Amino acid sequence: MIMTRRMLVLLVVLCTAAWALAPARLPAGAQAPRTITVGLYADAISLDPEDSNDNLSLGVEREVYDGLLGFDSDMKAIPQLATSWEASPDAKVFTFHLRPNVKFQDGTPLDAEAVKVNFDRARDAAHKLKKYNLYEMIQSIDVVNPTTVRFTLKQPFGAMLFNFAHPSSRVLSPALIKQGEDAIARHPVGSGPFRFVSWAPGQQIVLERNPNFWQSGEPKVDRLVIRFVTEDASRVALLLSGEAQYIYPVPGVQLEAVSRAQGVEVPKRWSIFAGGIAMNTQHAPFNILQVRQALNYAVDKNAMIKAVLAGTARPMEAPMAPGDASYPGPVQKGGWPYDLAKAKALLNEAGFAHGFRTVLWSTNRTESVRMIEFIQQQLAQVGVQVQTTPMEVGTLSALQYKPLKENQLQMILVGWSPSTGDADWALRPNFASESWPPVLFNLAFYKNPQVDALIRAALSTADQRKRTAAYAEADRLIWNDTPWIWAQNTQILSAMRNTVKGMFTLGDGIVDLRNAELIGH
Amino acid sequence: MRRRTAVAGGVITAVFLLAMLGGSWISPYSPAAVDYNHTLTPPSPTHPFGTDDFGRDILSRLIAATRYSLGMGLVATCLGALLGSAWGIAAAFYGRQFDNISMRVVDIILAFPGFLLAIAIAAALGPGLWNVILAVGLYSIPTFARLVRGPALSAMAQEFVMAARALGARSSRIMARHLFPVALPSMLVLASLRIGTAILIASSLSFLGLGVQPPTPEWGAMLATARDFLGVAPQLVLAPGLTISVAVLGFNLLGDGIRDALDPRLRD
Amino acid sequence: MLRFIGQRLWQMIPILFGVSLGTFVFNQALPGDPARLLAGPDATLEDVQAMRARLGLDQPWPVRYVIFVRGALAGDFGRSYRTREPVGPIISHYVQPTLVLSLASTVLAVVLGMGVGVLQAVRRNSLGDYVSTVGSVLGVSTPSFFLGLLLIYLFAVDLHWFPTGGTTAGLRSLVLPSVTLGVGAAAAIARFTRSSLLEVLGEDFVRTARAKGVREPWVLARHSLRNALIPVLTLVGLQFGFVLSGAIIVETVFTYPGLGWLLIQSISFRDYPVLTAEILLFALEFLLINLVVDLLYAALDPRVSYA
Repeated sequence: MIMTRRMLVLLVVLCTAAWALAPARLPAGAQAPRTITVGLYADAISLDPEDSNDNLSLGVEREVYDGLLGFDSDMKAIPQLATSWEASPDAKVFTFHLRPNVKFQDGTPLDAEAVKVNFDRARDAAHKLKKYNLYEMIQSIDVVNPTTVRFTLKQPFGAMLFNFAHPSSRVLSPALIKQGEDAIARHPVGSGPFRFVSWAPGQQIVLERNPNFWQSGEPKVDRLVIRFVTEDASRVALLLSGEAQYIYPVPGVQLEAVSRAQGVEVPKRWSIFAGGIAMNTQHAPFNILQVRQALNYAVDKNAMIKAVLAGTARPMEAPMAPGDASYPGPVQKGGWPYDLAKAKALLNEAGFAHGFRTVLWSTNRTESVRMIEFIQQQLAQVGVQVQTTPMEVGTLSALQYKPLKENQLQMILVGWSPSTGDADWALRPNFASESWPPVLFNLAFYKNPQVDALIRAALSTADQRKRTAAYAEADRLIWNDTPWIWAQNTQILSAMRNTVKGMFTLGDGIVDLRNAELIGH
Repeated sequence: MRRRTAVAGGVITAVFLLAMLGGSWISPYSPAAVDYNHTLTPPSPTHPFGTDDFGRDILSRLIAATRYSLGMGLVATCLGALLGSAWGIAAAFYGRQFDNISMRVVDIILAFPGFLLAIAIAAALGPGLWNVILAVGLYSIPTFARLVRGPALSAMAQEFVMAARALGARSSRIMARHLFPVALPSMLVLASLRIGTAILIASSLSFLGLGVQPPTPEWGAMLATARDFLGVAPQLVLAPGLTISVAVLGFNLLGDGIRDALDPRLRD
Repeated sequence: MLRFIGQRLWQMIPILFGVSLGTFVFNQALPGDPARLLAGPDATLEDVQAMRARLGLDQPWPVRYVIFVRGALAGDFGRSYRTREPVGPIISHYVQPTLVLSLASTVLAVVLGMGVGVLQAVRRNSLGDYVSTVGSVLGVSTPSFFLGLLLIYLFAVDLHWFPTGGTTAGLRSLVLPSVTLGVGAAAAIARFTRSSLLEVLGEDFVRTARAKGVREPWVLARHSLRNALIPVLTLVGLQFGFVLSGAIIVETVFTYPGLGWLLIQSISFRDYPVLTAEILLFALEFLLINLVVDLLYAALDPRVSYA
């Protein structure tokens, strides 16, 4: 008797557990909302576009907001809220004609006045917004008529259109702006295809279909759930288990396993990421041109791409990535050649026949660590003994941004992806002498007055032909000065279940889910 | 049965100590020899544990890593056990304010998450082998102090200690002769677990990117950098993972044996 | 007894002050500039300086400490550097998941650990003892992120029994992380229960009881377990603290939005206000656990008294 009672209790406990653990089922007959779940690598920080510089926040903002201009899947600037525009030849006056009858998600009309309110806020230094530098050159904004708005700049700025296409240059509802910074950061209201529903920090952001979106028939799903999964392997597992239909990024080493899985596609797309190893050109022995060139000859880029990146990259052929707007073409086809004999000869010429010792910094991300380990192995072939020093991101940033006099930097693994997608922001932060730390990212402390002049010249005109010609010459000079070991241009790797389509990650690493669609619905 | 597991533990420990001391003679290949044409090969007669993402022999790397992983675990644990036990015994012996204050200090240190402490030390000194040892060792001190204090406190209330005090024995003598032996079994049990824990904490530091620097082979670092390969080349993850488990197993079984031998009441 | 508790609670105040000051010094020693990290790689020096002013970092740290203490005494811990939200709501949002996870894994560890430990001690030197000893050693010697990843691959990817992470699937979300977190602690508790119980079983009063003809289960329950529990309790207390810091790794592997995850985020962004509040919370939690452990200690061992 006692035994049976015990058994009964056990049974009840087990049943309760089974019920609690069983997957939830929808009641029969209910129309399930068309939902797509996406797995990304980090949480958003703020949903204020003009105060965002992380790709994750910008990706969510892309679905909720529109800009005057947007990017297409190849990062070419395309019309969004502006249907057409004109630039004055001196690159000082930019006029936009707006799409008529567009309303924000809260019903406020989107007109020239709303655009002016937005960019007046963005260029006001008092707000201390993160992307202030995109708009600080604006002198005045004029409402010509309800559908026409004119921007006048303080000085010529040839890359200005790219600033308007920048993922931060979104247009917010003026009613939202009135509510203040906290509301803007947490409860975005725009005119884009999806409106904001909820944000559980560290977990997910939920968006739903904007029924009044200006592009008829869009969007094609009711709900977007964006989940944040930091650990690479867990994110891959999220897709393979079917919990998510799209994930980004897929780590290179998992690529083969993921593409073998049933019902999974692995779309690849070239990034605008330029990768290399910056050498401190103001620090011996990297102040000697032959040494820098020798190190470039000593690294087999193709072997590196195969061993470290699972073949998902190509050697750099110019100081910027081919996907950048105004890219003038390769300086050296196939990349800087791998030639150990030449490397040794050059080192000998420079007086380092037996090599030297140096230190190579990087972040402690596993891929970076594997990369610098590979560089270490390669440079050992010519007698250069590298001490690899991976560091936590915050520590590294504190060390790398020190001014030249205090900076210990010798070699550092670098990567750069211009947020405007344009050649100016690909070259200027990395190679202009005005960008030496602590100002910007010129970690090689590279200085060539000719290059500086060319970068300035390209900015003073809106004529794309002239700009491209200037960048071609700058590229050639920088390439031959070799402030970097020219390494790789990577692919953007995402993975998608074959039940969905229309989602992709752009060359700058920001997702675009605006055209997400469930196949068969 | 017990004795047999202790012997097994001894054998495992001996094998690892041998690998630690004579690694370069046993190792089939150089742990740094790369071969980009044979990367991620599965286990085979030429490479018993396969090769890694740079084509290096995993077995050779594991053997070379013994020196660092085991050495780190041993040194850090000794550091923590000695200083921690001394502290715990002193707290129990002097009692009152000293006990009170030192246990509150222990509380404060333990109140910091261990990894935070490790990060603080790594931040102040820069990451590296000795800093990991220091981080893990310092982290162990309060654990030992707290654990050893318990039995020592109980012993303080017992007749033989009271008698010794009444007879006017010197403090250091009472602590060394009477309190230390009482505390020794728990200290040894904890230490035997702690060598493993030390290796595990070191590997967790590597997981967060604060451990030993590559290409220095270290089990935890090997495991941490290989984690992306789990679904692709499982041997890369399983080999160091299981090596850690077996090594810790050996130390634990041996530790049990030592404990049985030291405590006559448990002798069968 | 009450006086003892009151005294201990009173002592916590200077400790917490010490911890907060220590945290400020630690923040200062931590290399890295929050303004630079937040402004991003694109930022010019001018942007970074604007950010520094926005965060209030243009003031020296002792001034910031005074401002912090003044605010904290009024219940205001400032705003997060990263998200600009007030710290209080952020912390309270992340506390609950971690508390649930820690409790679940501690309960698992205590039940599993003590159960196995007692069985091992009673059936000493049996095959079961042997196998479970090896099992518990393996449990204690597996790195938690390794175990977590193995569990994810096995139970989430292959078998689809549990989700890969997050908290969106209710109770089912809790299973894998709490097992990952609890296994190590369970193994440690089992080992300790076993050795502690064996020791007590060898004591004179147990032999006396046996000699008097007291039946074995009674010997175990009445005379041995109670005494054997004392060191085990200390360990459980320590393990709970360990579980809290172990949560850092487990929450990262399972993308479980708790305090551990928040800690890693706030360290990597140098989000000092959140970091400081979180460390204070950890400290308070630990002090309270230790107080409870000490009280139980006194309750179980008549030789130890705090009267």
